[in-house]
Amino acid sequence: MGKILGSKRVLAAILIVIVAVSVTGLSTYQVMNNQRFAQQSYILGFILFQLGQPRIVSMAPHIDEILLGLGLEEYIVGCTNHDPYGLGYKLRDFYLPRLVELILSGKIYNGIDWWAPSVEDVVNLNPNIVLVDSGVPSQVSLYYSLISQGIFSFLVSQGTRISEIEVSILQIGSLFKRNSMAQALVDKMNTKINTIQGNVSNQTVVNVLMCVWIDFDQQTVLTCGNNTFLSEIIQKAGGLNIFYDSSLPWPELTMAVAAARNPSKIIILDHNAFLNPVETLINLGSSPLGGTPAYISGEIYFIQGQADNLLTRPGPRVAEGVELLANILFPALFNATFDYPHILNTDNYKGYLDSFILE
Amino acid sequence: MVKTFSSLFFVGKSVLIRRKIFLLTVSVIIGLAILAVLILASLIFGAKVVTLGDVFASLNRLWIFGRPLQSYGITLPSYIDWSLDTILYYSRIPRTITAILIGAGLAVSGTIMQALVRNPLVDPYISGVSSGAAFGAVLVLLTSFFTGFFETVSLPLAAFIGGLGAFGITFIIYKSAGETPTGFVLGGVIVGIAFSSLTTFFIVTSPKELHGAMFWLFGSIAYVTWNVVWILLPVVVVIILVSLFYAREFNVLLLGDEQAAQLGLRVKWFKRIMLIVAALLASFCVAFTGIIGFVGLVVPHMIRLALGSDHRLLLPLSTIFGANLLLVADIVARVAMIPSELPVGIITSFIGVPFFAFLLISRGKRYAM
Amino acid sequence: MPCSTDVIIRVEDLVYTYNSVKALDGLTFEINRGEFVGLVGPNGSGKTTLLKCLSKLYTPQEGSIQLDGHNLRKLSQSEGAKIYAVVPSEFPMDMNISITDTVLLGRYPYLEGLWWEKERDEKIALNAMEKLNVSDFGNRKLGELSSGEKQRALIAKAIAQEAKVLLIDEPVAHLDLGYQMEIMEMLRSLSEDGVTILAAMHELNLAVKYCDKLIVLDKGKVVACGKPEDIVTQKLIEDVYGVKAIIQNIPNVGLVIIPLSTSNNGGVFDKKNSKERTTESNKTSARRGSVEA
Repeated sequence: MGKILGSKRVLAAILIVIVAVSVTGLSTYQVMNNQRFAQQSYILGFILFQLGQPRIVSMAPHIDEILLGLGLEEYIVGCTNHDPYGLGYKLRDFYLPRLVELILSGKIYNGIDWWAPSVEDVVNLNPNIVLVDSGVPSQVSLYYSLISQGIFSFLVSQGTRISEIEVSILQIGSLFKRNSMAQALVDKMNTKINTIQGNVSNQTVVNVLMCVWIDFDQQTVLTCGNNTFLSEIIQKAGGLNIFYDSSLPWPELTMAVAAARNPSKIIILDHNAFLNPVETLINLGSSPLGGTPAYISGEIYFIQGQADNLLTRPGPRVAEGVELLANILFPALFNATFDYPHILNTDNYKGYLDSFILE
Repeated sequence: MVKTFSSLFFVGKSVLIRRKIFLLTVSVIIGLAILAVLILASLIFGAKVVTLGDVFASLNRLWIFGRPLQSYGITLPSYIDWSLDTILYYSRIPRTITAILIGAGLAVSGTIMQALVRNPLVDPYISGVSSGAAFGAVLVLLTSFFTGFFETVSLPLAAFIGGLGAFGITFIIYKSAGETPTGFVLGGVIVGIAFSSLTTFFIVTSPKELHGAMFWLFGSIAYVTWNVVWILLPVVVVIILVSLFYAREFNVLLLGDEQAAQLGLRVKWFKRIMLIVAALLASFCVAFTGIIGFVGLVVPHMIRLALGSDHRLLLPLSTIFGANLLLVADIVARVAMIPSELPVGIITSFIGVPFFAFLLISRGKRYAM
Repeated sequence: MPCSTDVIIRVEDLVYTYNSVKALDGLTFEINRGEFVGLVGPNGSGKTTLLKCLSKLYTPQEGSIQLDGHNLRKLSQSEGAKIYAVVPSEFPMDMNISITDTVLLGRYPYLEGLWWEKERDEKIALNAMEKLNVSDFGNRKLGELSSGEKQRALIAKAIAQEAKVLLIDEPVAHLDLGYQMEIMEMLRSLSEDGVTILAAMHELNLAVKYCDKLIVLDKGKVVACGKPEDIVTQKLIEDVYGVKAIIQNIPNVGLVIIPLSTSNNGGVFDKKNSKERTTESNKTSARRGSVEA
């Protein structure tokens, strides 16, 4: 590339080559060493976890509930909050009572960010096992960061199917050597789900529009497609998710398209009770959804707080979610009554459940 | 003493060059001083505030060539708090070093590209590299192509291939459109849009619900490990040294391709190789931390506005101030909304945009590239 | 006028084809050391192409070029840069460089060391700037200068290159009358200092006034070559440019060409024949305008 004139340039070129070779050599050595060291760290972390009392960090609410179901809540030192906008929510709406107790007494630190967790936050708690939510890519990065530090971590599956949820429960159970408890929990879930399915088996299937989010400006709804546990809950509860044929897991569709499928019940998930039910009903009336059988017969349900948790967490309580939904779909069958407007939240959801998976 | 020191540099050079060397030295010293302060800040601040002693103590864990630093004759204090130590060694120190490497790398990559295409709107991202790299990475995420040893390496490798591939397409468009600066920008934008759309399509239709991958695409240095540092180190250091070596050649290119050729520079080869090198550097950076925009665009500009287009000043200072910019951005990303981690790319935009506007307005009349 | 017979450029049978058009069709000529040569001819006659072949930007398919005794093909680009320097017609360059830096870049073929120029390099550059009267603009940016000043800066750069041959494409094309004279005077004095200059020009009268020798190109061939007073005839102007002109040799002034009209005797400007011109600009009025000094 042009002539290299003068000895200074040649000298500099030689210097660069020397630096290149030595730095690359150092790096290669370090990386390969790190690989070996990382494997050792991983094993070391696992051993440390086995030896002492567990200090668990749970990186998602559904994982909290799995731990609760396995009786491991005493060992949780940290969990996440799901409050990215800092709007504040009531602890009782978000966590089960036992966890609320532990948080309030300071035994559990619930300040870890679920969407973009800080490594320091997690490490500060001195955990010896971290259960990571594999559905959040920044958490997956966190996982790799943690195992290279010798902190044993486990990727919990996202739970796109109820069967996957049950597998997660069994996996976590075996980590903590509570296999029989895990199996018992899974059996409890299956019993409830099967019972409900049996009860509704000879009922006409109800068309359900499940709204994860409603946008009145854009006139769209966000709903669930085929490959989600939420859709499976609907199916097990004797309903038909009107968008079961969507291959996208969380499609956003216009209200007109949704209305065209004639849902008999419209269920709106609103954990933090952002929506004012009365206003929303009025708005729905003047939207394309106003002409649906659901709207005309007043079958619009607002699901908030703990009731929402039953339907949105891929954990053991999906079984309760099935039961809750069955109550909504077939009130006569289950002797369920609803005030108007139909709101299910932390205060009243228990009335619709025969038994509880997590006592 | 100052006289003998300055004579070391100034011997055989007359006033004009002396002035330049002086300017370079002063700017470098200022830049390095700021860098030192920022390094300290990056190490000390976070969810837990540490002391300098803690920082040095954590270096006990750093083993080079299989031996701890102590065995090389460096004495370090012993650590007191295990979790503090862990955070420092596994989290803050690699993060600080990575921010420096990537900031410098992106700034130099942008400088090189702007010199070669002679267009101020060119940066690693406008050339399509970042979108291609992101595409490669998302494909790997979706197909779960993690296999054994390559767990930490396959993702960046795929991103790197994607970035280089996207850049190749941009280059083809650039040549077919007549090798003009406008052709390059247009080619890069087209490629960028194409790959971004593809990436978004894959994310949205993925059965694995990876719309959260969007977060990764916004760039974050939060989860880097020492492996990232070691892999980045030779690439960034060597490419920066090589570009410094050719600083004069970049200057010659300022006269235009024809004039440069007639002055004896083998323009076609030089441009080709340097563009690939710049794309390589940028690909690597995106591969490890996601898309961090703006550094490659703003830093060379700012230095050019302040000190002119001479690459013997521009390149070293872009390196240093690129590192500074990203360090500041990373500190803010970590500390601004504790315990949440903000994507660092958003911070670089917040910092970069008003600064650039201010410089442009105040010295805009003189700025005519 | 210097009358050295030392040949510095020898071109033989040069052929350059592009897109199956022969831009240069068997050119042969010689230029002596220290001559100020004007390269004239209509648009599309191959002037720019020839200059680019001489500066190794284009590689001719046939023929040979000897520069200062060296075969141009065998010279590397950086060796060539020490022999010839090019002053461009347009400025496709960064306008943000200072004048001093621009001129210093002319020293690139000679630079040693890693980065910085030596004192000697700086002296040469400053001298060049003085010669071309741009020393006062040292710290200003290229974009701030007028076209005449820009041109002078670029010529200074070529001088700083210590080249034996200056290849200039349209030295006075965008300049007003005053600047035109200034530049031509400067080039004249440079050639008297021993620099060989080959300038492609449209301005016939200026070329005739200042150049030692003219090379007239038409359709890629050398139509005439020699001293202006010897070769510029009415017939030449009519054949090459299609213009009827009066040639006057005014005492104490020199040769003057006064164009009168286009020839419309069915010769060159028949619609049929105008296709023979390979150029896009084919309006007589435009050409006449550029011939008028």
